[in-house]
Amino acid sequence: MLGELVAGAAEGLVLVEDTVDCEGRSLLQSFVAAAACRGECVHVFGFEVSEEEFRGCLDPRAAPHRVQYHDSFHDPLGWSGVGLEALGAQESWFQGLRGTPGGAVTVVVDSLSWILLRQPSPAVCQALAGTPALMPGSPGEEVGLWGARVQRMLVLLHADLHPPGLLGVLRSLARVVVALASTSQGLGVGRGSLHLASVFQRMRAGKVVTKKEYYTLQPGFPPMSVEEPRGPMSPPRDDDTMAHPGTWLTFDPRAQLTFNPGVSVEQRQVRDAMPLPFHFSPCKKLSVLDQGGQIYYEPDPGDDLDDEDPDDDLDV
Amino acid sequence: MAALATGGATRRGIAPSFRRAGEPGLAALPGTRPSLRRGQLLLSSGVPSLDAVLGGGLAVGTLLLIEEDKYGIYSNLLFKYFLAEGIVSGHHLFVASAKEDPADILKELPAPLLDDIYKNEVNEEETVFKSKESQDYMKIAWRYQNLPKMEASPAASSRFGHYYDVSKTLSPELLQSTKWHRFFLPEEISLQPNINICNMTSGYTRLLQSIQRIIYQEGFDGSHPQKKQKNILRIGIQNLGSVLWGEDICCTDNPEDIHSLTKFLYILRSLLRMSLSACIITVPAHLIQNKAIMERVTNLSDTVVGLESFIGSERETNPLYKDYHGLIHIHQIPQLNSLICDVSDTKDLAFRLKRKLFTIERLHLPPDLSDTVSRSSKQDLAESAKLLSSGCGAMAMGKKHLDF
Repeated sequence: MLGELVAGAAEGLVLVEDTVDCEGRSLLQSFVAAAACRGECVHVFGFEVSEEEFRGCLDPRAAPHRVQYHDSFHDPLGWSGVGLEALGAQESWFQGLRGTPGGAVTVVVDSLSWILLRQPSPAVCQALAGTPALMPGSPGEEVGLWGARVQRMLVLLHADLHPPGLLGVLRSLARVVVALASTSQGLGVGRGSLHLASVFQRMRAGKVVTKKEYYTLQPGFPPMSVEEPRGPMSPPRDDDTMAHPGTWLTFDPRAQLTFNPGVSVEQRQVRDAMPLPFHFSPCKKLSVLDQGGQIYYEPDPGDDLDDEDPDDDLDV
Repeated sequence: MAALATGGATRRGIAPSFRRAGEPGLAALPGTRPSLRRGQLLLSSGVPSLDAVLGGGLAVGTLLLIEEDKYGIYSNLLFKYFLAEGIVSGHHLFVASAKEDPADILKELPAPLLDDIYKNEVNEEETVFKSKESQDYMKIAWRYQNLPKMEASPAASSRFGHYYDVSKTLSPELLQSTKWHRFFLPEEISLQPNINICNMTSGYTRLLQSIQRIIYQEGFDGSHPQKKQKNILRIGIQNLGSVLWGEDICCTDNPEDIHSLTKFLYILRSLLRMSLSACIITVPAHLIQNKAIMERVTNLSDTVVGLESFIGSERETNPLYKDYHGLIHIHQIPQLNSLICDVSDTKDLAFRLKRKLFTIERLHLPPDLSDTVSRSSKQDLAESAKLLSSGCGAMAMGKKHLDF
């Protein structure tokens, strides 16, 4: 599913949530590379890394001339154009996109956390949702001001920097949410290591799809390969074992029990063959009933033994 | 309370025993009916089963608040049902949104299953049944054959409340014949950049001004009797309280203006009470951080209905809930003109979206399995029943099967 999203199935607002354990910029860059290879215009609004650093990680085969970098890293206060002040408002997106040739446009924000920490969040959210053709339900239908239309908006968000309420709001606005988490296998950092992504996608028909997938980023192009989810995705763990990875495997809860909770097949057969003490088996029944029975009865003094009128003791 | 008090009871036998002398009963408005108990004018919410739960329908001049489910799918559906019912009944509409263009919302309204279509479907079933019947005529039932036939479906007889087909959209001709007003926040902001009155979020101020203008100009004002033909205004406000309205109650626990939403509802309700209108509002209650705000919002609305969908929760796979798509919680039913409200007899309600129809049903436990079914599956069911009664989802997770 993540592979399809990178290949262009993602439309509208796409949220890539990363944490300090698992960075999401390389995934963002693979989105960018895939979009540029499809021939789309890509506008990157960068706040956290310089242009050289961002381009340095991009695949050189991914048509770098289609990627336009709006550098706010060197100019955070917006003294020379696009910057922090401008990006709070909706018009500034248009400013940044001016002069784009017609066709599909991908807008990338790296990262939204930087803006959210410095601007009032309602204004930022309104700007995100108000960018043309990003309205849920009408992706890519409206034509923008200059013949170009914003096909998708990729937003990188550092999830551990924001309160859960704000995260919930952003997720409710987004059409696609990719939340990244590190895995026990993915000890290495950067490309080539294994990461876990929970993908959430709002379909146009009003359906919602959620899926968990492992992915790796490989140095060449195609930028990523998604491994099939294996069985139950993650072992059941609680916060305790999350804090100390590895302890989950070594700790055996059966070690301190006074009985054996696991029963092997032979043990089970032996146990099933054993007759239980209260069980009334056929041979036991025979041994009890074979002697023949007899009923002994001693009449009570109050017994009514004559058959003539069974109700004569009734006081009517 | 002008609109509430003038319950236009026209039919004999339903009319309330006490009526003010000289009051001319409201001429029968399309798509409305008088309440059986209080004599208020009711209109349908668009879902007949929801009407039944809410005591017959929504009273004119009241506010229905829907707490959205997590992904807003089913609340959006109820919202559209409400508007579609207005179109079918010939009411005027007012659609406000900060997220979607109101024209797009109207385009996606579900198509009504009109009476004749519905009857046709029922009739087809009946003819099949009759042809079978004629072959083996039941002699036992001779006593009942002269009794009048009962209507099989509740929809066939009543003009009040329609069923809708979710899979089809409303025909454009029907849409064109209705009169509707739009309010799309980004559009309004670009038209008039700066308004800040009443110390409220500017989006709310604009919306209130717009509603007020329409109520006064288009003749829905109940306090000033109008000469021309009366009609009902249905107001729908989508996603109220979300960030897109410029509100930060969803983002933080201590919002800048904690009273913005409550002020808006207070003024809106007074507008509704004075006019021939009814309003539906969907609110993302699960996103609002400060629970005190939600309490106040509940108190300021008349009818409050919460939706809880099973999507993404563990109940989705629970065998107990396999027939349903979510739970519906009736949080509040208004007490209008009386001390008590029409409390429904059951609290456990669930909704389901069949192929075409959205219905609200009483939540039934599945029937007990027979003895032939293996013990393990029965145990599963018993466990989930326990889970339902305790209402605690985390219990079953940690439970391990130990075999001795």
